[in-house]
Formats: sequence, C-alpha cells, structure tokens
Amino acid sequence: MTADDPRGDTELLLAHAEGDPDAFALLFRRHRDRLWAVALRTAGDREEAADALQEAMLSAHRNAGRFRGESAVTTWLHRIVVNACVDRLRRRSAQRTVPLPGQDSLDDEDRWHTGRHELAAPATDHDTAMAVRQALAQLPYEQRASLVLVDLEGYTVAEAAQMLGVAEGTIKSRCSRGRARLATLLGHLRNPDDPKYVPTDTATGGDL
Amino acid sequence: MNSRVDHDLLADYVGGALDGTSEHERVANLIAISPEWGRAADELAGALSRVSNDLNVLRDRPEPMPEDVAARIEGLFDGARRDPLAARVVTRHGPKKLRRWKRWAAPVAIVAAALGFFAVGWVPSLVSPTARDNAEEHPLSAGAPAAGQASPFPTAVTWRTYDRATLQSAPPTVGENLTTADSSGGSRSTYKAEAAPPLQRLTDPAALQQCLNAVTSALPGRVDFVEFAFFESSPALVISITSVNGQWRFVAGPDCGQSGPDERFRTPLK
Repeated sequence: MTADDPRGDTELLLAHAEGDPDAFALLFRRHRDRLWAVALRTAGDREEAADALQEAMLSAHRNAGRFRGESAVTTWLHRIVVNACVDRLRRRSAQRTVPLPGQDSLDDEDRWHTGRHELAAPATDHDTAMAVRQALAQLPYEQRASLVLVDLEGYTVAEAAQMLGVAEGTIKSRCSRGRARLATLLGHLRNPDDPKYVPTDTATGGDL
Repeated sequence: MNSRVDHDLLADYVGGALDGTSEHERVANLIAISPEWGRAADELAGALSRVSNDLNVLRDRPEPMPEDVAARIEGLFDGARRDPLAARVVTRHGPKKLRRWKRWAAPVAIVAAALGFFAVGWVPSLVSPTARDNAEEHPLSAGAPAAGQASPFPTAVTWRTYDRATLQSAPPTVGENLTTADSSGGSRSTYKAEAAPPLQRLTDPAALQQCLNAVTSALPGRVDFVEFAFFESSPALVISITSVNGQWRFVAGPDCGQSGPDERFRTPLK
C-alpha cells in the first residue's frame, strides 16, 4: 500500500468507514507530515504532540462514519488534531503538575511584559524557524492553536473559529495578541516595561 | 489623560479584532491624541510585519514526522483494523485471562454477599462467565449492552480511597479487596451507601459502556479493570487501561460518558 493510491481523501475515508482495512492508514501516510506539524506546533512539545496525535488518529479512525463531507478531509483531521492538543494542554494545565509550554506560573500580564524569554536574533532561516518555534511554545496554548491554524496552516479566521468551536472575534483576538507577544519574544518589539526601555521616536525613523 | 498603553487592547485593534465594536473608535482616538499610544501603535505595526515574515519561514519549513512516532501510530491501525474497543474483547478469549477471572469471580460474589460489600444495585463484578461470553461474541462497537446486561469488563466496587501517589501502584487484586472489606461492616456499609448515589448512574451497563467509550477516546487502549472507588475523597471510577505506551490509571468522575470522560486525573503505572 502506498500513499499514491489514486483515490481521493474523501473516497479513502469513506472506504475506511465501509470496512476497507487499509484505507485509513493510507490516508494517514498521505498527510502525516502536515498532521505532525500541526500537532508539534500546537502542543509545543514532542511527546505531548505524539500523544495528542495518537489520540486524534484513533478518534478519527473510530469516528470516520461521522464525516459528512462538509469540509476537506484534511480540515476534519486538523480539527481533531488541534483539539486533541488543546484538550491535553487544558487538562495538564488544570492538574498543574508539570508546567507546559505556555502554561508557566505567570499570569497573562506578567507573561506579556516580562522580557525574560526574549530570544537571540536569528541569523539564518533555520535559526529563524527554531526561534519562532521556541517563541510559539511560550504563548498561551489557545493563542498558539489559533496562530497555528491561521498563520501556519492558512485557514481563514472563520474556519479556525469553527474548528476550535469559538467565535471569530475570539480567534482574531487570540491571533492579534499572540502575534504581538511573538514580536516581543522574537526581539522585534522591546519590552515596554523594561526599565531600560526608551520609546522610539518614530518621527526620526529610529530602529526598533 | 491616562496614557498608559494597554498592549493587549492595542494588539486587538491593530489585528482587527475590534473592528465593528465601540472599542475600535475609543482606541483609534487614543492613538490619535496620545503620543504614547500613537508611538506604541507604530512600533507594533512595524514589529508585526517582521513577525509575519518569521512565521512564513516556519510555515515553509518541512516538519517530517519522526519515524518512531509514525511507526507508533501506524501500529495502532495494524492492531485495530476494526474498532479498537472491539480488539480488547477478543483478547478475553485467551484461556489465561479467563481462568484468572473465573478464579476470583466466585469468591468475590460470596464474600461480597456475606459482608454486604457492594452498596450499589447492579453489581458489576458479579459477571457470570456465561454473560461475559455472550458479550464477547458481539463486538462492543455494535452498541452498548442493554440495561441489565453485565459488563464485559472486570469491574469491582471497592470504595478504596486513592490519591495521586497511590494511583500509581498496580490495581488491587481481589485478595486485597477482600482484606479491605473490613469486619466493622455496619459503619462501612453506611459509608458506602452514602457514597453510592453519585456513581449510581454508572452502575447501569449502558451508562458504564458510554463512559468507557469516552474514556478510551481520551486515552486509547484496552480497559483492563474498572473500580468504583474514591479519588481524593470524591467517588470516582478508577480505570486501568493498557495503552500502546504502557499501563495507565484513569480517574473518571460521576459525569463520565455524559459529555466526555469527566476526567479527574490520569497517570502511567510505574
């Protein structure tokens, strides 16, 4: 069996629901890297991502019959994956046994204003990707999930809102605040509460 | 005027989250008249442009799934070509497990009856081999057992009290259950009777099945043992599960199965 099966995603999912024993694995192989990217970037941790993806794939495997074709199969799968990640992070947050990315002891205001997580300026695309990934992992998980869907996976705000089960305005706000926090974490925006912070005189085109 | 910049509000404004709201006009006005707000808005807009570029770099970067993760997940499909819940029923055909079950089922029934040990109306642990065998003939995916039908899972009512530390030990054996069935029956029975109502719903096989479906959605694996017990002073189901990455204890609350597993805690077994 290869991912080169001529059947489309919807056909494969329907075939699985009708008992084709290989169809779902084929579908998974076809999309596994993108599913992994969604899980890893949303969970912010390799092991959490692997566990969440496992839960998500089993859920999709069992609930394929509920797919109604109202969205692309990949959208349906991404929705299950990102919600599995968020559910896990929410549970871990509630248990408060092990701090997770985006779930440290700081409240939102502290997390916004502190400059302790600022990252060194990246030199290459590889460094940039690493720095962005690290910065993403420091965001509150709900902001991170929204940014992953909208900015990294290219879903519209409306689609992301539907996938996460929240209002569009909530997604807009999470994305806006998440991007602003990333700006500070990535060193593009100075910490406004840093004692050494001197507001830029934009009239003279000062460098940020 | 107070010119302290609310950076979250400013981010909402710049990102368009305030469009169409009264806050939009207020923030626009602040930016227009307050140098601090104006400067912060300009800086944020410039910084967001760079963030967008950075995110594009990450977006375009391949993220191949590690082979060990891929193998782990594909292994699930190999082992669950049908509903994974059904797979665990098949395992019960193994003679070893059946023998073990028969070995302790009868003593539990006898001693429980003698001590008044089970405080709930339906006694999940008194599953006859016949009833269990019937359940095994029908994959669970075919539907929940009808009311009154016995559970296919080894189930016991112990009302043991667990906490996060004691959960990490192995599930109790029947011998342990019986030794904890104290000789001061009266007070213990009262205690159990008071504790039973929150979990009463789950003594119905269909409700328990629904609960376990929710649990195994949250933690995929084979249910090995279901215990009516206490977790940190609250009545709860303590469920032993064998997952692909080891054995787990999963604690579900009284609402398990109604809109999810009502998870209270989970931990791998050491």
